[in-house]
Parts: sequence; C-alpha cells; structure tokens
Amino acid sequence: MNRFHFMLLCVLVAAAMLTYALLNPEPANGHGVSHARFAAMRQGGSAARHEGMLVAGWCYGTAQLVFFALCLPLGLKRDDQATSSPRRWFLAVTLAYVVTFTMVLICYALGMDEPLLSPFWDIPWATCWSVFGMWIVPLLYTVLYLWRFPDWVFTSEDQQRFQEIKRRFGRDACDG
Amino acid sequence: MDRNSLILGCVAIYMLSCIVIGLWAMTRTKSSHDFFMASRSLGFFVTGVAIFSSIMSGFGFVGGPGLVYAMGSSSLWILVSAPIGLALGFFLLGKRLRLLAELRDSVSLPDLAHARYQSRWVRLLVAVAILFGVITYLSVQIKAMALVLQEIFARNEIWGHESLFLCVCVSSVLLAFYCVTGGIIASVYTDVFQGLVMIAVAVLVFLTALASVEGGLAECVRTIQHDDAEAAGPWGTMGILGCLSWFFVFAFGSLGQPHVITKMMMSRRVEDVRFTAPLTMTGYVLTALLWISIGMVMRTHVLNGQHPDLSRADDAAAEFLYSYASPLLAGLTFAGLFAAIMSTADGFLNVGAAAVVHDIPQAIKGRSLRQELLWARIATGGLTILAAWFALASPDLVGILGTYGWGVFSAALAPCIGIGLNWKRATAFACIVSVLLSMLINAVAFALQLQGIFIPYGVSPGAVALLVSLLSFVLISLLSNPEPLAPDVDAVMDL
Repeated sequence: MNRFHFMLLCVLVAAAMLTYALLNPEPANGHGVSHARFAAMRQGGSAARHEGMLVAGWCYGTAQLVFFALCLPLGLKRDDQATSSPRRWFLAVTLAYVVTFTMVLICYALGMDEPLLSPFWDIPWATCWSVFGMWIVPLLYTVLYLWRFPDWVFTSEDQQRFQEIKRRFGRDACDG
Repeated sequence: MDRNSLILGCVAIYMLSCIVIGLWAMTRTKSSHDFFMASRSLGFFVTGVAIFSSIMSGFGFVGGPGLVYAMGSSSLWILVSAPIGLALGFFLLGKRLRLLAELRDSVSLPDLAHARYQSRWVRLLVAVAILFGVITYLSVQIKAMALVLQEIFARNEIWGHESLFLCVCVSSVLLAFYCVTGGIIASVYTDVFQGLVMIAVAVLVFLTALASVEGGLAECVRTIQHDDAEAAGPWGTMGILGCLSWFFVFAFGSLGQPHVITKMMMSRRVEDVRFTAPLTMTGYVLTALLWISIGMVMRTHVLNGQHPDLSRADDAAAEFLYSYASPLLAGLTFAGLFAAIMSTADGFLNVGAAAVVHDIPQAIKGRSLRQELLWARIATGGLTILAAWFALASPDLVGILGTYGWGVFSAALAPCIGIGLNWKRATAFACIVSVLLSMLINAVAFALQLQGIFIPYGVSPGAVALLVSLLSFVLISLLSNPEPLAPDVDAVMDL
C-alpha cells in the first residue's frame, strides 16, 4: 500500500463515521436549540446528547488528522518524501496532534456530568485542550516548513533544475 | 466632535485612503497580466499580509463574533483549523503553484489546472466552480459591510435601520470602484494597509473587551457556563459532529480558496514562501483575537442583563464597539472591519473576473477575449451586482453564509488543485467528476436549506461535498490508467 491508499482509507473512515452518526436519530438538542430567553442565542443543553457519539467523533476527527499528515509530505522534494528524517519529524508532530485531540474527548467524557475546570481562567479542561492544544500543536508543521525549507522543500539545486526546465521547454513546447 | 461623528470620520478617512490607493494602482496597471497577477512582483511581506487579510474577512470580523455570540465555542473549531489549513496550503501549494505559474506564465488557477490536466473541460469546470463560489462568498462580504454601514448610518441619523438595500448599494459601489480601477495591484497594496489596521485593532479590541467585564475572561467563562455548560464546552451549542465538519472544511478546504492561493502565485521568488508562511500564520492568530473576544463578551453582557438582547447575532461586533469601546478605538475598529471585508472581496472580484474574461473563453474558444483588461473591469462590476443581489436575497447569518461559501470552494477545488498538483497519477476525468459532484451536492444542499431542510447534527454541507469529492477524486485516479503529463509540468512536479 502506498501513501494514496492510506489517504483513501482515511477518507473512507471519515465518511463511514459520518454516515454512521447521521444514521442515528438526532436528539432534540443534537446541534443546539434556541435560547429560552434570548432571541439570537442558542443553547446546547445537556452533554448527554453526545452519548454514543464520542467514539464515532474520535474516529472521524483522528481520520482527518492522519489524512492531513499524509498530505503534508506531498509538498516536499520528491526525493525527500520517503526518507527517514522528514518522516520522523512529521510522525512526531502528528502523534502530538492526535494525542491532543484525544485529550479533548477524554476530558469532555470525564466531565459530562460536571465539567472539569482548569486553573486557566476556569475554562473547562476539554475546551483548554481544544483551544490551546489544537491551535498550537499544528504550528509545529509551520516551524518545520520554515526551518527545513532549504533542505526538504526547495534547494539551490532545485532552483538550477527549474531554470534548466524553463530553458529546455520554451513557451511553444509548453502549450502542447 | 461626538462619538458617532468620530466613528463616521474614521470610516470616511479609511474609505478615501482605499480610493486613493485604487487610483494610484490604476496608473501601474497596464495589462491584464498586471490586473490579475501583479506581474509576480510581490515580496514576502506583502504576500504574507495579503494572504492572511484575505482569509480574515467580513466572515471573520462580523460573522465570527456573531457565531460565538450565538453558539458559544463551536466556531472556535474554524479558528483552530487555521494553523493546519495554512500548513497544508504552504506545504502543498506554496512552491508548486509558484513554479508552475512562472513556467506557464499563468494568470489564474484554471490556467494552472489546464496545464496540469491538459483538459479544456477541467479548465471550464474549475472556472465555473470559482464563479459559483465567488458569488456566494462575495455576497457574504457585501452583506457584512452593509450591516455595519447600516448601524453607522442609523446612529448618525443619516439613514434608518430599514436601509439595508441602500447600504448594500453603497458597499457594492465602493468595492467595485477600487477593484475596477486598480485590479490586483490595488487589491494587494490595500491588503497590506488593511492587514496592518486589522492586527492593531484586533489586539486593542481583545484587551478592551476583556476589560469591559468585571472579572475578565474567567467571569465570561463562568457566566456562559452557568447559563449553559455546553456553550462553554469544546463543542459549543453545535455539538461534536458539526464542529468537526467545520474543522475539516476549513482545514483541508484552505487548499481550494482561490482568493488565497492565487496570491501564492504572485511572489517575486519561489524561496519567499518560506517566510510568507509564518507571517501569514502570525497575522491570522492575532486577528482571531477579535473574533473570540467580542462574541464571548457580548454573550456575557447579555446573559448578565448588562446589555439588551440582540435581535441579530451579526450585530454583536457593531453593538460592542458602540457600547464598550472608546470612540477612537471604535472608529479605528470599524475601519478595520471594512478592511477585513474589502481585502477579501477584492480578491474574489479578481479571481471571478479572471474566470469570466480569461478562463471560460479560453476553455470554450481556445483564446481569451480581445481587450481583456477592459472586459476584466466590466466583469468586476457585473459580478459585484450579482453578489449584491444574492446578499439581499439570502436570509442567513453572515457566519453561516460564510461557511457555505468556503465549503463551495473547498469541495470543488481542494482535491483537484491541492492533491492534483502534487500527484502525477491524478487524472482529468477524476477531476471533472469530483468538481461536478461537489457543485451538485452544494447546490442541492443550498436548495434544501432554503426549504428549511438541514443535514442532522449541524453537519456542514461543505464537509459532505468535500468528502464525496475527495473520495471520487482519489478512487477514480487510482482505478484509472495513468495519463501522460505535459513534459514541462512533469519535470516541475519532480522538484
């Protein structure tokens, strides 16, 4: 199996999980209800609306994250896509990403009756993981891009090869 | 000078600045290549700021606070998708788009799609998908701008609150003026000016918003949680499936946003994308502070009874600025709101005009229109009128309409462009099927929504369309025989 088979598998898992979830009857507050007092506000009501949905949600979300991680190395130089150095780094960041997402769900599941509050402005732990973790961890991919660009993405030899390609294929040849 | 006049004055100065930049840019726009591609002459700073200010639009500055006000933390999944979305954008397209654009001297995304797949049908469908998305998303920007103008005019007793039609007209005329005159040169240089204004006001508003609640952020969280624990939880009122479907559309879908990725084709040197990426990311994170803070603070104030109930969630930003910000900050922020809106709208008008006068004629007749620059300006005006009509006809919240517009682009373009430019095995037939399926699903979903029929659990139609489009694209490509590529494109895809 190559990268694209795995990508297809991730998309299939995501589609299957979404289909499974959509086949379940939606509770009355499945995606919120109008607020009892305020016209333009909505309320989620009880966390019980997510019972039986969290595992499907985890699979759906994790399939997305793995799919993204499989896509990212497509932008590297062809020779570097399968080498161990980029692969190690991408694996490490992706693992951190999946763990962070898993923590969102674990904290939410543990706090379904009474949300577990963090010491950070009393924000529930699950929200903390989603806002700070899910926001910050993927920034590491950009750090990798900035740091390893001249080695992994576009080298000075690539620049020369590109100039050579431009010389070899004139504008007329390109139109064919 | 009273508060309302000061705000009106700031907005007027800002608008005049945009007009001056538009006129200045007109003197530098000599050809359609200048109009669409800025002659690939932009440095990494200009490109980086232009990209983030194109993403953070009226959807972000007006719709975003509205979504937080209405749904609690649900829409934060749109924000947390940005770092991975931008990473995908830069890794997959930063280098590839720029190299192919230079190699083929392309002025638009359908040009590149044609170079990659060697199919007129692909070029035509990509151009039609862009037009389809442009009308939707541009209408979001016009509606957001009109809502804010309506509030300003009403407070200054110029027009009443019933003047949405007039405000849509004013917004459209202003947008059309500086895009028609200056094309993409006006667009990117106003983007830089607008981007810097947006960052400054977002940080100031964030601090002001939290200071307006006694007890700050912790008190906001406690109040929202006391009223409804789910609203302060990770999924907000929308629930897990709705949030994760937004996450998917906004993360992977960033590969299909033509107004954003087209700017990656304009940088002066390929190596510049290395520095453009962190710059774009920083700008986006800073401006997102406004999205979060205004919505949360307004929800808190209304729940506490310190502010009257809002009749429209989209009014959250304007109400906050009038009620809690100092007059000068309010004036600057309103200018920033217009900056966010206009910097995105100009990008849409540009790619939309390119689709009409360059790509569709190329696909059908094999050549562009004569006097392309003149027709580009006429098309820009025509698209503005069409989007203005759509803005008036659509009853949705700006934020919801925005997620729909983003979803249209994502499903149609992300697989063909994002993956297709990096995968030699991808075929033209797979691209055609995926674009057609995505447009069909989005059109049906939109028609059903108008009838009041929605996908359960708040799942975004764009997410369903994107999944189907991706699945068909990868599956058909894997099952088809590989097609030969143009030798030059083949060589560039090896880099």
